[in-house]
Amino acid sequence: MIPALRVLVPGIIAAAALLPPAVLAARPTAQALALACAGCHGTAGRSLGSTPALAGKGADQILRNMRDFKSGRRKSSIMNRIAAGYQDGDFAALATYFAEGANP
Amino acid sequence: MMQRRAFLAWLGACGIGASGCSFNPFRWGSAKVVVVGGGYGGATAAKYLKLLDPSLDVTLVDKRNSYLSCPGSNEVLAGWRELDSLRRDYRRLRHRHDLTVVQAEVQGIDADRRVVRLGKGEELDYDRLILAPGIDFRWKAIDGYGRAASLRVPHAWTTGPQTKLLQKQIQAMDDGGVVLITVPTSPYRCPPGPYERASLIAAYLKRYKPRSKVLILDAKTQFSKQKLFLKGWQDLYPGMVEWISAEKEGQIDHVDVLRRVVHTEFNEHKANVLNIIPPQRAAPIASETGLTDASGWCPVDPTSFASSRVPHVHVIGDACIATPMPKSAFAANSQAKVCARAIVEQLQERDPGPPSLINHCYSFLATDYAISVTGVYELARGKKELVAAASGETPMDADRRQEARFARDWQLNIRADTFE
Repeated sequence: MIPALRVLVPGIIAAAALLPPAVLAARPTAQALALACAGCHGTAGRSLGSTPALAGKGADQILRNMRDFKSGRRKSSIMNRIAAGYQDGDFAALATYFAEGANP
Repeated sequence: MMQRRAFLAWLGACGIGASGCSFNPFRWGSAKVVVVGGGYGGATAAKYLKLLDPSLDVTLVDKRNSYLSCPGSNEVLAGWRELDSLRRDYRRLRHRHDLTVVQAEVQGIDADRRVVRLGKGEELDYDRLILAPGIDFRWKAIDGYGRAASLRVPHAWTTGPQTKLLQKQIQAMDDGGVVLITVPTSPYRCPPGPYERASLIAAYLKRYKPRSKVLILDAKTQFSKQKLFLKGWQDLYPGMVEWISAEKEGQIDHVDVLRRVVHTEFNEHKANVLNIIPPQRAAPIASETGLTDASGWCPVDPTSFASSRVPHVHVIGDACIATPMPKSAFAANSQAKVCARAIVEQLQERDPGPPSLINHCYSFLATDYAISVTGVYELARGKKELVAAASGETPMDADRRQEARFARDWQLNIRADTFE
């Protein structure tokens, strides 16, 4: 173990012990989250038809939209229901993943 | 796949460039994955295995050279589309994703030797096997309704000749007739399907035989999207669609196929067209391979959809137990990706991490009227089970016309995401 980690790792473990369990629970990776979206938004977010494509959208836009769908600030009969199932960190991971091209 | 340690051992044993070694070092990393069943689950799994790791050797096996989609099949009954528009072949999957497609009936699986037995002594060996075999009917569950009876009284719960038979009978029925649909207890394929079917038969009858009725005889006391369906029937087909709960009449006692009469515990119903949707279980290959439990379905670990019973075998789609996910095309597509990703990660000796799944099912009630049900699923904390992180139905005040547009767009995208 490199010297910096000798100091850091026990510190991280100590800090983690103070966090509530919800924060500690591991979340799915960006890829795992994104693959489920393709059922409606197309493989790699490249949608056919009028369902919005996610590929090529800016990370800021995706993040803002998902937060607004979850809070209800933006109304959508479907996305309000979907967004409710994710945490804010998931939105950030998804936003970056699609903005970077959603390559599997 | 040959693991790294095994590869190094092999190098040591043979010496690089030594003759007499049958293993080809250029194929290092190309593990063999066989997928049995080319419906929504199997086709998605085969495609995503190759997308996630192009070096994999992936073979998709199905007894047919194409698949007839169940989503959309109720639209055939309404006269909105031809049966053939639901046909999905595997050409694009094969060409775009470089996977092998084998048309053959699977005779059996030898899990100890890790081979899939095809006819004529042919075998496919695998490092991982994904089974997406779909459903079978419990032919002995309803007195008077067996496989032979289904040629006269269709179930139409697999798309094909059965769909056409039901369509023909509805078209031949006189105005003023009764179409009776019986619905089994859960779990069964496509929970809202019987109620969409009732709606779309009503759409046809309203136009061509407006004095007719659709009766739904349910083995359950409640159903998927119930309030939305009841509201839709009231608005679109007043007096035409009637739902009878098991609470009122109990279960089916027996069926008289020749007279088209269904006898329940407390009553009997004579139909002009009878559609019996029988109770279901996983397809026979699942029980023959020892993958099913007492329920008749296949228990799996939802992080990878690995069978809880047989190593190196994964089960996805309608055949697996993924409670609280419903048995649907969308769920199968979502499970297939979790499974494919987990296999790719595990073959590289990496942890796939927790799964994330979605189900989103539309039901049409008319061409410009649809409703939907949604679930987002994750691993229950500390358990090998899924839990709904969110779920919901179309809000009562939502625009059904817009949902119908979304439903058509979904058909386009799920088709491409699965079969192309």
